[in-house]
Amino acid sequence: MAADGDIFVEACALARSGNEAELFFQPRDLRRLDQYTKLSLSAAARTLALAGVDRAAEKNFGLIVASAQGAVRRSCEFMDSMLDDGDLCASPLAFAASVHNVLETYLTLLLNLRGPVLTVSQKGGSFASALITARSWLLAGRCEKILLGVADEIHPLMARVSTDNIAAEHLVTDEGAAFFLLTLTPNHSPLTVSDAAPDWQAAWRAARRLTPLFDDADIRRISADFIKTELARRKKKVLAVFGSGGPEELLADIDGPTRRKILQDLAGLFGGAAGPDTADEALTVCRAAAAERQIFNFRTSGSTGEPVDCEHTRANLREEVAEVAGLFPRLRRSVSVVPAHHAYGFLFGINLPKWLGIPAVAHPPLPSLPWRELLADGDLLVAFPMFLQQLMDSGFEFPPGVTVVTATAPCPDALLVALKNRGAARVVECYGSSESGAIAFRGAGGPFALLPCWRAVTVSGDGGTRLERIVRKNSAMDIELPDLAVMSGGSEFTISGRKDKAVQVAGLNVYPARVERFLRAHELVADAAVRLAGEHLKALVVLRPGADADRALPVLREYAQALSAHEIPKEITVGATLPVTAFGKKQDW
Amino acid sequence: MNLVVGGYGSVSAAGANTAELGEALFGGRPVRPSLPVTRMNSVYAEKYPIFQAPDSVLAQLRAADDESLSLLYARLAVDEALTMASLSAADLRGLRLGVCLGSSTEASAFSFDFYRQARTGEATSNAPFRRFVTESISDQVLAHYNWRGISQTVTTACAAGTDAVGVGAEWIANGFCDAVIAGGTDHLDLVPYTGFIRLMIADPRPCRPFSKDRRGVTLGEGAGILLLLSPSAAEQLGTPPRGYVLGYGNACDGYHATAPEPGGRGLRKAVAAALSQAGVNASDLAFVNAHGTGTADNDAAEAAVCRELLAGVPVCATKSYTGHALAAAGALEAVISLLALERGEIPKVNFFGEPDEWLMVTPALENQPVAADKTAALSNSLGLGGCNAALVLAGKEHDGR
Repeated sequence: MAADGDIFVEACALARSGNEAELFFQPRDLRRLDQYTKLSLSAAARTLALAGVDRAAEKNFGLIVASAQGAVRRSCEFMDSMLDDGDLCASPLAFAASVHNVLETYLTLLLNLRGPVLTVSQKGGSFASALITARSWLLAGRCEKILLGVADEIHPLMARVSTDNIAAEHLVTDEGAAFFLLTLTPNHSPLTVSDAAPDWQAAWRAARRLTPLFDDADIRRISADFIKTELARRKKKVLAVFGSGGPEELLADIDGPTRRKILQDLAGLFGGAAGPDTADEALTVCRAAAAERQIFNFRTSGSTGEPVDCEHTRANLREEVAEVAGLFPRLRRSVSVVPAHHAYGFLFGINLPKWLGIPAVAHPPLPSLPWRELLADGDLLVAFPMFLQQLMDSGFEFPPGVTVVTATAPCPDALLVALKNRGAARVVECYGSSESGAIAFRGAGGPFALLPCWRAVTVSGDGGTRLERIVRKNSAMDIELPDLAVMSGGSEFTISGRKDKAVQVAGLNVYPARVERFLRAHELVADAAVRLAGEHLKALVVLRPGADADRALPVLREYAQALSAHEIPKEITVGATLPVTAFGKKQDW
Repeated sequence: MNLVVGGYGSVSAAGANTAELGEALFGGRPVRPSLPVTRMNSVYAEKYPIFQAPDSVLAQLRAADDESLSLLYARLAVDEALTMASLSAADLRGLRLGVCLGSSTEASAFSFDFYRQARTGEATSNAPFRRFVTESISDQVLAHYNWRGISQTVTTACAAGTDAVGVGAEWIANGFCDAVIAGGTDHLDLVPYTGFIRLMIADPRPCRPFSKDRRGVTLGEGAGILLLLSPSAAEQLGTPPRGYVLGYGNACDGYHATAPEPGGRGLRKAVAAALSQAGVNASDLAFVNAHGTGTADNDAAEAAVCRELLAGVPVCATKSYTGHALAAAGALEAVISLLALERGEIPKVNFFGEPDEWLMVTPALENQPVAADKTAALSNSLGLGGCNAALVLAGKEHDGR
């Protein structure tokens, strides 16, 4: 029997921020604990939660901690106290917290573990070595399951003494904890570890690979956000968007047909086919579908017709988040005001924090909330232009260290600059769609840079090289860009406007955007929107200040006669503003 | 579990090898800790003694090769174990081999001296850090003997040596290995020395386990190594058993960072698991080699378990000869247990004052013979953080079933 035989993962989690420990433990339990311990508590508690293990019950689980370096910060803190304060005043607390097996203490104490424990410090091979004993203990029946954690922290001095004569494979260069609940029962995912050193990175990779796309909390959050959005779209409970109700509460007094339709569509997001009648049933269907299919359908907003589901596979979503994660180093938390079923809300509010091992919180998109208190150093604020504009209009100043990512609609450079000027550490605009997911990112005043997973399909012409389509390198996804994009070198491009989308009027292609431009060209018109309504176009215009609607309308109807017969709007109405969604995208009226 | 101990070796303050250790334990050769502690540049060096490795051992350090004291102690003990088994390092190269060692000081990223120099930019070389990140002590042992195999460095503080023997034995029992070099090695430097004093669990006098006037530990250093073989590997090598590992138990307290659970909750489970795996009853035990650090809390928790699970079993407490060798302690005590079983004699405790009526456990105050019908012994370890481990060992007279 080999030492490296099969072992299976019942649940796992990665934590790279200790903040999440607050979700699982009382503040008094975390008092005086350092980041290294909190990281491990976060990952371990989440792992047990994902496995449905009741932490209050005493259980015969083994605990094995693998750490290449151990509690190096506390070890240095103790030596600092010896050097700075003298032996007589050296810190006993730092010494107690610096022992190699310090994590065992708090993990067993706070997770109520009472089985066998071990700490392994085998440098870059700690994870692989610990797995040998994990398997050995399980084979011997020493414990029912094993919670195996790979945890490390770094100290600034390490970077200073890690010169060229130490190969990178030996160095721990990042902090985090990955925990696995291991069993020999083969109805779980097998754990395979690559030989590549250092194996703390292999542990992180394994944790990411084996973490389900959705956990129960994700499904509830997505469900609630989707139901809120659907109720608002149907002009029922519009203000629910700003509330914190769960699926059951939101649907409590909604009529049967509407409820069933919403729940059916909700199940469809996860690829579920059954027709649930209650929120509980819908969540059950969603959980089952999520576990079985491991896909997610991003639903188009419906701003230009009926919403359409766009299926994204687990592989694509993982590839996307792996690339996006590289753009957002050193984050400690995701704070999102974008619904979690939305492509960007999912990416930045669920998938990215899970990938990075950082906590995620969601707030309603209300600029009036106390955002100075809700945001902290290391946060990623996931938002959209209209919300951010309102935040700026309110005179808001960011606390230090907050990164802002904006998506869902084009963000003017002026707003990106304003966000920077108001203290945002970094401001990034994400370009993408429900069909594609994230495509590219840019900072204020800069071009968009295509994510590496996309290949650009370009066409050269008088106006330069246009980005026509993008093709996902590792899948069949082939997306035509909805906007006019001009390549500006390498994989960078700029957006110059939306492509005209043809619609059919009496069998002929007409272009609402062309008609909009035509109407905007009139001296009485400030802005215009045109769409297909039945078999004809209709137009909504916003008049320039001082123009009178009763007098302007006959003038504009006459003006429109210059268009081709198929282009002439059958109706022209006047509005104070153009209708947009809550995220600032054009909306039907 | 029924693993053959083909040989064992040790380095400690009580002897440069196991023969010398035996003279101290059974021959009456006196052993005292060193005071002042000339190796430590500390304000405490005049007050708190340590049991340090003999000068004859320290003189063998290959300083030019950047060898650490932990590696020195380990290789001397491995050499002794191989010699006892009449084997060479080459004899093990054809086997599926494992090295499983307990360690603490050698598993620290920065030695105190290097850290002091590095933080002010005065370090002229990063060699100590490079060695730390590139090779664990168990890998250093593999490399020293030009062996290939699986390796593990166990860092469960003061229980690491016992854990390493139990873990390594189970690797063989589960068919992962034919032979395992198991044990622990540790050396003293200023960090643990100062740390234990600042935790106020170090005794200015030599440690007195289970004594009413006990005040804490006296730190020690050294290595204990067991050459573990599967019965078939022992037969193949022609190595006669010098003892057996029959059982291993491990359980945590889940109680406190530095204090053991007062009732010995974790140790109780560890002992029960070790006895169960060994198929041995407490009444079959010749003696229990207690962890016996000499701290008030540790001895009280261990005494609770001795009273309730091991009533009537003689207790020995040998840290009064070796000091508390931290991650090597459990392995050293496993070696001492095997040596005592082989000699049929239980060593008396050193420096003992008077029995503590609250403990109701008194270690052997004089050397005493092992009962003729008892061939197994229990060796306990309790580590900081509430990790507990126990081994059931048997002498070579054990019938090997």
